[in-house]
Parts: sequence; C-alpha cells; structure tokens
Amino acid sequence: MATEWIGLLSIFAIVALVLFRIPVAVAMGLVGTIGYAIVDDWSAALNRLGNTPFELAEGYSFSVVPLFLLMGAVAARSGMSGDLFRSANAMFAGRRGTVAMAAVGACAGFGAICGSSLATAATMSRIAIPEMRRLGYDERLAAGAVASGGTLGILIPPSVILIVYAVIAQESVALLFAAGLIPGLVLTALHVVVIWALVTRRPELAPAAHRQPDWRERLRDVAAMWQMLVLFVISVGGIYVGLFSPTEAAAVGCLGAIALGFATRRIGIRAVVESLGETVRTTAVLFFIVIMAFIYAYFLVLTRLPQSLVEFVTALGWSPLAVMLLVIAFYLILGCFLDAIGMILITVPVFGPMVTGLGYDPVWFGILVVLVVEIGLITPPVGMNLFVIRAQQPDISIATLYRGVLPFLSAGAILIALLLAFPRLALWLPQLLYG
Amino acid sequence: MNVLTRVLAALRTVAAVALLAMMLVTIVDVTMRSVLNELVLGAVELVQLALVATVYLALPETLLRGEHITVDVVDQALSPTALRRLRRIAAIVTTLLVVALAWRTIPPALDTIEIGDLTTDLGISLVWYWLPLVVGAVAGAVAAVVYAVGEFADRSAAGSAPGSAAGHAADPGDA
Repeated sequence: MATEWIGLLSIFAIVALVLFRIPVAVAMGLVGTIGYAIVDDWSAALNRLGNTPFELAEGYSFSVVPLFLLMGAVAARSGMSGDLFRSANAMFAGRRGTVAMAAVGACAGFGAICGSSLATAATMSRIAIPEMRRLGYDERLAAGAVASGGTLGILIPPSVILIVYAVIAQESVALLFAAGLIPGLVLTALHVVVIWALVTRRPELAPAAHRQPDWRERLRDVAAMWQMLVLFVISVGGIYVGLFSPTEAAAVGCLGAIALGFATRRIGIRAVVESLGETVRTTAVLFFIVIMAFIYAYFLVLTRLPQSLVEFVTALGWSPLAVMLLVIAFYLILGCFLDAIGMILITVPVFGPMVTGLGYDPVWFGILVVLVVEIGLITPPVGMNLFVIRAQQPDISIATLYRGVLPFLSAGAILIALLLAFPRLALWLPQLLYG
Repeated sequence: MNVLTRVLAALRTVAAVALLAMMLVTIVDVTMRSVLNELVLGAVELVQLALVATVYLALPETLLRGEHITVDVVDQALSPTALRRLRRIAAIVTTLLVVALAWRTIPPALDTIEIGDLTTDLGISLVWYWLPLVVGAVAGAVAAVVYAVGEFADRSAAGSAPGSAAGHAADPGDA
C-alpha cells in the first residue's frame, strides 16, 4: 500500500477511535506511533515517542498558553464577567432583547481577557441565563445566545485555539491575534443582528424593553467594564504595538488580573492558588494533546500525504474557491463529531500546505479554520458549549439548546462568506501593524 | 486520601509553583528591559524549564482523574454493559500508550546525563529539563494503571473516577 493511503486511513482511524471514547490525545499518539512503525520501523517509532515530549523544553513560545489560561482563570474569579454583563446591558438598554444582546456583548468582552470558549460559555451562562429566565425570555433564545456567544471567546484574542494553530502551522501568534480581532467584532455584531431579527419577527421571545436609564446611569454602568479594558489594553494591546512578545503580554496580563483582583478586594490568595491549580491541570490536558499531535504530524510527513494532496488538488484543476468550499464543508461535518483542538491538530498538517499552495494566506486560513471550528462547538451531536450550558442549567433540555443555537449558525455562515469575499477583513490589521 | 493521590497532588503543587515562577521571571525580564534597558540573562531558559515542569508534573493527576478529553456521543446509544466495556478499552489503551511513553523517555534522559549538555546562557544541565518529563511520565504511567484498575472494579456505566462522568472534565481552552 502506498504510504499516502496509510496517511489517509490514519485520519479515519483517529476519528473512529475518538468516537469510541478513546481520549483524543491517546488516539493521535497511538495512530501516530503505530503508523510510524508501519511506514518506518518500531524502533524509530518508539524513539519518536520518547523524544517528542522533550520538544516542549525547546519551545519558549508555548509558555504563552498557560499564562493566558491563568489570566482567564483569575479574571473569572474576580467577578469581571458580572461587570461586563452590567456594562453591556447599559449599552443595549431600551430595546426588546436587551439582555440577550448584553449576554453576547459580555461574552465578547470576556473573550478579550480569556482565551477559552468553554470558560466564556460557563461563566456567562451562570450570570446571563438565570437573569433572562427571571425576566421572561424564551429559554431557546437565552441558551442559544450564551452558547453561541461563548464561541466569540476563541476568535477574539487572546485565544488558545489561535495559539495552537500558530504552533502547528508555524505561524506568528502576534499576526494571528491581530487577524482575529476584526472578524471577532464583526461576528459579535452579527450575533446582535440575529437577536434583533429574532425578537422583531417573534416578539414573544423576549419581554418588551424596560425603562430607559438616563445617560448618567448608563455611563456609570458602561464604565464598570474598566478592568476588562485595562487587561485587554496592557496584554493584547501590548502585543499589537510591539511592546511585548505574546508570552510577555500574557505574564503582564496575569499580574494585572491578580493585582486588580487584590486592589478591588474581590479575590485573595486562596483564589490565586485555586486558579494556579486549575490552570496547570488544564495545561497538562492541552499539552498532552499537542505532544501527541506532534507525533502524529511526524508520521504524516513520513507518509507524504500533505504533498500528495497538494499535487492531487493541483492536478484536478479546480478553482481555489471550489477547493476552499470543499475544505470548509469537511470541517463543518467533522465539527459535528470532534472537539476543536483535536480537529485543528489532525487537519492543519494535512490541509495547511494544500491551502497555502493554492495561494491563500496561512494567517487568513487560521482565522477561517478557527471560525469553522467555533461553529463545531455549537453543532450537535458534539457541541461542547451546549454540554457546558446543560451542566450549568440542567433543567434546559438538550433539544431546547439545539433549537436555540440554530439561528445563530447563520451569523457564522455570513462571516465565512465575508472572509471568502473580503480576505482583508482578517489581513488588514496585521498588515497595518506589522507591514 | 491514599498515598498516590497525595504524591500526585504534591507534583501538581510543584507544577503550580513552576507556573508562578514562569510568570514572575517573565515580568522581571520585561521590567528590566523596559526600565533599565537590560536583559535578564537566561530568562528564556528558566521559562522553558518552568514550562516543562508545569506540563509534565500536572499530567499524572489528570490521568488519575480521567480528565482527558473524550467524545461521549455514543453514550446515549449504548447499553450500560457496552459502555462499561468501551470505558475499560479506553483505559487499557491509554495505559499502554502512557507506559510506552514513560519507558521510551528514560533512554534519551540517561543519554543526557552521559553527554552532560548544558544550556547556553546559564549553563543548566539538560538533565533538569528531562527530570520533570521522566518523573511525570513514570508517575503518569502509575496513575493510568490505577485508573484502569478502577474502571475494571467499577460496575456502573458512568464510571467512578472523578471527572470521568462528564466526559469533558477538563477545559483545555478548547477550547
């Protein structure tokens, strides 16, 4: 059998193993090692298994991940999510659907200090969904807005998924962070438009607007998000203006989050210790997948699958857009079954060279991949954000959740179309900042 | 709390201290550069050492708690017996991989002792970088075995290990 076919089969083997409850990291490590042994030999495969974990010691850029995770964990314990919700409520006040729009706005704001979609959905669902239910919002709208809004956390920098893409595609984290900002803001606006359209067409989904607060009250509430703005400006802003490297920005952001928490007396030593404990466990889980993905990537290179795919697609003579649409369709289908990190780590080594071979910018492709993966977080049957909300609000049925997120899928679809039509949506800011 | 749980919790505490050190070293480096226009010699090497300790010393506890990301889409369609079997197969496969990993990290670590390589700036022996990896991998192998034994002892479909019932216990930043 040609090695390329072994490479192709390996993708299906991983998906099958994962669907049969083998942990994602283990499935990738196992298939990578066995595949390596088949293409080369067992001795080389086992040496690869033993040596690859040490690559972490040579990768200074990896340290950005635990530091940004720590910043998010501290921010979550400092009650910043509640402040953001209050601010967003003041911004959208006076309209039908205010609180749902505020939930989305607060998700976007929390995404700007936390790199995780699940953490964003978990934090905001504790605050926004009970409030919406108390005010008489339809459960589908309440849960759908938070589940979908949670996905904004991985497009708006800092984003762990963008860092993972940067690592596997060997791209610059700073460029990707710059490229994600405008699409993230556009997606937030699209979410607000979806809510507006829903409540305009079906007013029974949300109660009529409450009294409009005066400008003084509104200004005071909007100002409540100052802590989030400070953290975003010193960390991500520091990267944008070239003051810090991503690792430095994350460390400064961590210190900033801890200092703000202490200064406002919202957290103590105990919360910092809990945040550290939670972060190292999350980091270990994440890096176990990344290391196993490296082993799998070594095997894939050995099979020559990525190069053969480039040659195959070139020989087909299809337009780059047609190939890209096919790639997007593949991701959307895979997103129904696989988790975000696994999807990126399995597919980018295969599709990355093909897409750049077609003339697409790898930074732009990173944003597109993250966006499509985001959609996977809210599509059944494996919609991680939906599971998180279900865990927080067990009396909302999974069917209600599925129906709730359905209208929000259109926001993602529109942004995909916009990115395909106007790549500068993602590439303008990196070009402006870094030339 | 048994001995293994305590040992793994202690390793996780060291990992947390390493993460804190990573943050502080970076902050000092940035401050020195911005204020005094001086670089901290070896900051990158210290951050790399802290990262290895953060990741590998926290890994064993996550294996003992069954916190690694699993897709549980088939759960609803399976009988409790079939689900229990799948959980046991997953535990065995995980154990095999982690034991192989632990076994294969030892030879290159021993080679490092023999060669005596040092880092460029601070002259830290590379053995210190391998140490958390080997300790984490070996402790991880023990944790995976204990987790697998627990899966075989457990008669329920949901599993008894903390974190395993949810199927997505840890949030890897998706994350």
